[in-house]
Amino acid sequence: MRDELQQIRQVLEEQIGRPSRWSGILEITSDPAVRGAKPFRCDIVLNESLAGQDVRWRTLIHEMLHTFSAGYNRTDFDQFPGWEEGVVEQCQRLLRPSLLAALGVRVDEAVFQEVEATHLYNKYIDALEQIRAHLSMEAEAFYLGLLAVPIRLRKGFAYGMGAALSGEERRRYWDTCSQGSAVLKEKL
Amino acid sequence: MMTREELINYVLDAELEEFDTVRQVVREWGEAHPSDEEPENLQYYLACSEEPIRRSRAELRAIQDKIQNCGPACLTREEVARFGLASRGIEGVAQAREVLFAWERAHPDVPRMYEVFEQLYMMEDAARGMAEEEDAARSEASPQPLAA
Repeated sequence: MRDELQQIRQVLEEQIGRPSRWSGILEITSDPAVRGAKPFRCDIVLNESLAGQDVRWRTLIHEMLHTFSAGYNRTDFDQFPGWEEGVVEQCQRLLRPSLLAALGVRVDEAVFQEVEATHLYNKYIDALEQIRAHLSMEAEAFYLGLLAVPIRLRKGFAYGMGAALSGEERRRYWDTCSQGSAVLKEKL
Repeated sequence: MMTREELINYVLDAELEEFDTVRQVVREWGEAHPSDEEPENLQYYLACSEEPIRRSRAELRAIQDKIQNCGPACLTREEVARFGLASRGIEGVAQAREVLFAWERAHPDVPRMYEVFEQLYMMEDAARGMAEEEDAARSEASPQPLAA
């Protein structure tokens, strides 16, 4: 899986136009509760059971995308998890088809859709999609734009995009942003 | 005085308990910049933000009460996931894992909620790192004993 991560990194660097911060270290875990993670030391953690499974590609791409995320640090992740996980997961879904095609990997989309239909980060993606709906913005531009902005500043970046709207539409947009923000940073 | 960008981020970062202070800061900023319409926009944003935050807190409290009164098994999948995703800190993460495992034992046919465990893994990593940074800052700030 390390070689696969390396290949994904190369394609993503071309697609995104920025370098990854991955340390190059892959840690294999047998923790049955974790398929993949991207700790703040910039290694990638993957579960040993993923090897050889078609569905692994979505996890590998997701974790690698964290290494392209601006301002990926402990404090900001702790405060705004949805602004990171939602953005990264949606980037994974958007970029995966062209990325796998570039790698010459063929996997039936149904394999991924089965996982993604009930994925628990969908609530983050729904909140982000409601914000995007006001902006008539193409999905890739919206999500890759957010990925390039430090996590802490993403909600300000989204707020600022409302300036292009006029009058009542702008107010409706900020109403949606404020509701989305409650979901994207929800904390006990 | 804050720049316009700083003011926007200050407002967007504010917690509900700080809203009264934040409103006052925005008012004062507006008085100093009378031709700028941003303060009016930000006051509107704050007004919109209150209700979703209060609702979210009330719903999370209801989930906590449910856990306390009838145990994790009583929660729906959405509720247990929401509890896990909203948990923070080393103790909070440990408690959330216990709740998730208890829920899984009661609902063995439901697929594991990996996304929640993975976010908890990251929250734990974040909390441990922040605690280490605080310890390091404290020991740097405290006077070192003189060598004999």
